[in-house]
Amino acid sequence: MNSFGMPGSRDFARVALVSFAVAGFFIAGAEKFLYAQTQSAPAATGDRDSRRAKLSNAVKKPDQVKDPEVIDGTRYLALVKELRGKPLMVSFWATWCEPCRDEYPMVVDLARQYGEKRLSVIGVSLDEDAEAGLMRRFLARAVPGFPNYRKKPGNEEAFINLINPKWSGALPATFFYSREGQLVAQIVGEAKRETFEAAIQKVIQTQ
Amino acid sequence: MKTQWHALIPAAFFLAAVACGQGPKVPAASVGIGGKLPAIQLTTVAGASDDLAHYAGKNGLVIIFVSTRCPYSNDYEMRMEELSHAAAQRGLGFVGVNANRTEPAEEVVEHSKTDHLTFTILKDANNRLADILGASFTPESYVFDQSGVLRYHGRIDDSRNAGNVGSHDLQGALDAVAAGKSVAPSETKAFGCTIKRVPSASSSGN
Repeated sequence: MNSFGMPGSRDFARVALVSFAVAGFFIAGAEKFLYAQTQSAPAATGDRDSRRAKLSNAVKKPDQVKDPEVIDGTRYLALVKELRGKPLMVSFWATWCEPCRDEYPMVVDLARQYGEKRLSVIGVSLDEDAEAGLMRRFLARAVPGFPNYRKKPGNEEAFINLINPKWSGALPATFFYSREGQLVAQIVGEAKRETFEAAIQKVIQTQ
Repeated sequence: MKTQWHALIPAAFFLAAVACGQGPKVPAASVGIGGKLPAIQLTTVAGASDDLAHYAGKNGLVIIFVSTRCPYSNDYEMRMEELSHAAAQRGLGFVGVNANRTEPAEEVVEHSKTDHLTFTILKDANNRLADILGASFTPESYVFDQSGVLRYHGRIDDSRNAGNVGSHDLQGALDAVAAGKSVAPSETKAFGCTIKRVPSASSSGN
């Protein structure tokens, strides 16, 4: 060290070398390390452990994300029918839609909070074939924990009109169906968590 | 199971309440099909004010709301460029309008240069024109005839992927208008990124 408490040139070189090595380790190994940690989280009991168990499914690699089924409007309506019996929340999103990307983590969180017993949740991506890779990466990072589908590219108007003729097609859009499969609420555009919670509570209470 | 209609009434009210409570607030169009081209000034990318009517050709005017950042709009740029030439050949003016508050004029200039766009793009400050026309998306198109009457509003075509287009709606509309024929359908549903309006008019969109 020099008289100013700063490293001399040889010390500086050593410090720099070590810093580069450490940085390199983190850059090269961080993803692998994180992935290994989350995958090896021990199974246990209780809420905390349940959350840990959920996290153990987190941070998938894009090539581990199954390609969402490509659906048209008819298949979508059939899905809604299949999921009758429990209130359903459907999130329409796309990787090219910035507010959708911002909103998605909240949807994932709401699905965790209300899912399983009280609410079914599905996502429908409006990404094109060329964006399938982006979509996989997005889903790998988001770890939705609910099924996602992808709209068959093209003919948006027919798809939108079949789902809800009053929907302009603006994204993000979230539709809420009663346990009878009736569309009872929708949120088009970004909205606060309270708005989502209110809609979820209402749809859960709707007979 | 028979539907209990009375049981759906509260649900219907709730649907309306939530649907209206959130999301991009796009004012209802004050100019619909059959309405007149608004007398409005837009801003050139150089910063000068100019009458929108100034861009009309002898047979009318095509307006497309565009974006620099929206992948959906950008995928249509080649088609917009071709349509601008088709419009010129048919005596219609052609203008792109950027109403996104998030995309300044300098960015529009740079984007046009990078993507080799030759048609004029005007800035719609405070999305005044977008509000008058009720435009929600980029891209979203309008065709006015030689009398300045709105004859077509909606999508450019039915597929973002140029290779899968089955219905060339805007091309059909400008052909019809140039030939003095009626446009059918006169209205289709546009789709794409939502216009980033000034906060007072809206607060969100894709």
